[in-house]
Amino acid sequence: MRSATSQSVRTTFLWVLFSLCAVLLPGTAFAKGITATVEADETQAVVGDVITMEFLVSRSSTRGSLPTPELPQSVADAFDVGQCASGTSRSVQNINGRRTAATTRRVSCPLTARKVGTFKIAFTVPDGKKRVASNSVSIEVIAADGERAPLEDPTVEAPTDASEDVFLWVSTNKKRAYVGEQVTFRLDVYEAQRFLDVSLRTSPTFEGFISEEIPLPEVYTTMVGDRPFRVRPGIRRALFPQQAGTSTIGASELLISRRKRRFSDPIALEILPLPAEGQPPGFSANNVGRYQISAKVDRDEVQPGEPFTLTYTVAGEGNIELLDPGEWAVLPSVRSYDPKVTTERSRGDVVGGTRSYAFLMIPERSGTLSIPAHELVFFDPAQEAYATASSSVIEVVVGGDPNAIVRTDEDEEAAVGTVVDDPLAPIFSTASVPRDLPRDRWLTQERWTMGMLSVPLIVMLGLAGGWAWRRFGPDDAARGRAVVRARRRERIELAQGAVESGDGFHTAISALLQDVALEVAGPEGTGLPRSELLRLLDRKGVEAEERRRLESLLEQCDVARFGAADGGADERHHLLDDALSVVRMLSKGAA
Amino acid sequence: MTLRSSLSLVVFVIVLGWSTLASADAVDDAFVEGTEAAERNDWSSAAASFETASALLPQRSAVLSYNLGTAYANLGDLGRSTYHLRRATDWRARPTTEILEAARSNLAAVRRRAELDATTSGAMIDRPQTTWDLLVGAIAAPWVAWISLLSGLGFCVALYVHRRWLRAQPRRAGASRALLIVLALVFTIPGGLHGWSVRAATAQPEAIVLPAAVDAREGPGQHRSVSFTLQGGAQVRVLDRSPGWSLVKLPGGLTGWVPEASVARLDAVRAAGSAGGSREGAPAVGKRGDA
Repeated sequence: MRSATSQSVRTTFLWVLFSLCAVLLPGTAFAKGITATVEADETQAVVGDVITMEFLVSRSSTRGSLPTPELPQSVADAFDVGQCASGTSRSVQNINGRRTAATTRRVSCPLTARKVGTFKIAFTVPDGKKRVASNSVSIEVIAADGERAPLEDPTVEAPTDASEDVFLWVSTNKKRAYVGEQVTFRLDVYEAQRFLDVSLRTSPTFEGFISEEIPLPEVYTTMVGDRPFRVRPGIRRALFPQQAGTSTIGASELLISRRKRRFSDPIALEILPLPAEGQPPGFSANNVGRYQISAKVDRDEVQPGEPFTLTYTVAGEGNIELLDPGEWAVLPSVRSYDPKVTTERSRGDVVGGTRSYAFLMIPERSGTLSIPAHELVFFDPAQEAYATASSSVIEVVVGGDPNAIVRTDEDEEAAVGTVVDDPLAPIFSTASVPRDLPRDRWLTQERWTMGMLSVPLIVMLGLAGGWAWRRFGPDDAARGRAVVRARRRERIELAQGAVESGDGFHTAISALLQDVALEVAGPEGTGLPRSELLRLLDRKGVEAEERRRLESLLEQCDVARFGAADGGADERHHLLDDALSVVRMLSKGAA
Repeated sequence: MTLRSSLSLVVFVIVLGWSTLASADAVDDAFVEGTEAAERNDWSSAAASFETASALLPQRSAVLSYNLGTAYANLGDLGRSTYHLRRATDWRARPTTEILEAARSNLAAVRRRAELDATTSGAMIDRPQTTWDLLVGAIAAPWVAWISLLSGLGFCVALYVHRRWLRAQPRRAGASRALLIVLALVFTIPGGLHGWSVRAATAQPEAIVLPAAVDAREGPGQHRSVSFTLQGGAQVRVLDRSPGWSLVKLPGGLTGWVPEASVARLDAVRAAGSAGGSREGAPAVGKRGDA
């Protein structure tokens, strides 16, 4: 018995132990497993570009430390490895009662591509006695497209000293220029490594220049010596010197990671005065560049007094917004107004564009209006000579009678202050001002509003009244009784009116009595002869005395109507009184 | 009544009548003086005399407004010219056909000039009147009010007749129903449009910009930035008021605040010029005796 019990306990213990092993052993094996992964933010790069690579080592456990990933030699051969940042994170999750834990070590390194080619990047980490290899990422590095950005001016001096990882480079496209001639200034930051915190602490100064911003190119890669550099364009300016002599562009200072500083040298430019030879009197020093001028009108046939627009357009390279177009021609017998000036700058390294001068002109006389060519004098620094651009002559036909003159010069002088040119109707001359006060409108705004609002109100009240009458008014029987009563009153009035004369008296009394009898008898009494009607009244409960009086009165009426015994007025008075007495009695009985 | 009371009454009546006659004479004198100055092409004196007559006259006068507007047109004051010529065409001034035609002709000339000035200066002006504007103006006319009101009353009568007698007669009922529908439509559509247009005219009265150019600002105050410039003679609607300032709107929807004295409402009984409006930007108008 004891043996059987101990056997049972041992069996149970073994099952428990087996279950624990089955559950816990795989967990332990999983906890020991290390995985290695490599990731890159770009898989293709140009020489000099910086790629951020991340090397991750993780394990499904929060205990113990993870090995540091070792970068392969191939990375060091093809890339400049910047300062790497590393960190370890641990996470525990409890999902549906199941607890999972993980530890990840992450090393992030900026790699600057140095060589052209395709490089497979992977790494290994030790895991006990064996090594675990990561996946591999292929990075394709291609050559830079030339050593300069396509937008850059090849005349600009380029740096040659690549001894520093970061430096500031300022340059101009020329060291010698005329007053008013464009000099392009550029400031670039060259980086062999990626520096996250680079700022311009001191900007260059441009005293003695008119400065215009020009578009910045994109970041590009170039070679300085045998090292690739990323070039970050910082400043692009078109400078227009304003005075002859030596003008200096001030030095700049670059701050790197708030600790290191880089300085640029000031640039001295020799500014030449515009040549005196061939310079027209009153020439503006802003007219330096290369320009063309054109003229056009919005219509070439107009009527006298009809306005048209004459537009001169200057196009070219130079500081066009400060261009002096010169004196505009004054056309005789044409009124013109100050021009509306618009400028459209062209986008590019060379400042220029178009500038339009739109004149509103009103011809005063008929005939052919000849608009002379306008000449624009400028200094061309490329040719080192003055040049003249000229618009074409334009003719505008002013229609109407060629002998007719809308306004002469004498008129113009006489009409100083008279601005409305169209003929005006004359004033009215009367001896007195009419004073008849206008009658006030009967239909004022208030009355109109009240009237308009009252219309729907009336309609609604009418409809509501009709509904109320149908709902609460008399029914058919009541209306029928009302009709009978009205007819009875009518017959009585007729009889009373005919008492003296006798005309129609007995007919009215007979009809009155007949109506009352029918009213008492009801619908079945209609159409019955008199004897049947009286019997019906008997069945309806009319007293014998009342029936007898009714029959007597009806017979008297018949005698009077159809016989010769009409009687006198007194007899008719008695008859009327008797009839009314019978009517009252029968009506009382019917009610 | 004593002798003394009777004498006092007679004196009072004479004084009252004399003052009215004296005022009337002064209006006529100023008017005649203005027309004489205009015949001499002395438009400054003419405008001043007409202004005097307008200030003395307690009512609208088409001929006075027309002459005043024409004098200002000859002086080049497009804002005041437009304002007075527009008042001359108002039915409340009782213009004759001749005055109406002449005023419209001069208004057209002034308008052309104002548009030209607006083009050259870049100032904003109301767009020319369109068919829609004429339609809106026609809807606001008194005859539309009469038609809509009479249609409403006719609808009430027709409805009563229809329900009382014609409902049971199929042939007549059809015609009466058609009549009811027509009357209801005339009552609701033109009546509603008339009410809307009159309400708009009351809530946002029309006004004319008087100076040659007025800066419309983003808010009431000289320190507020300028939104745009209004051309003299432009027709605007007054949306709101603040002490010394009016919020005006061009028909296109552009709004801005302008000095109150720089716009004159067309519905005012008294002309703005006689109330001493601003002359900012306008040629100086000589006073009496300047010429």
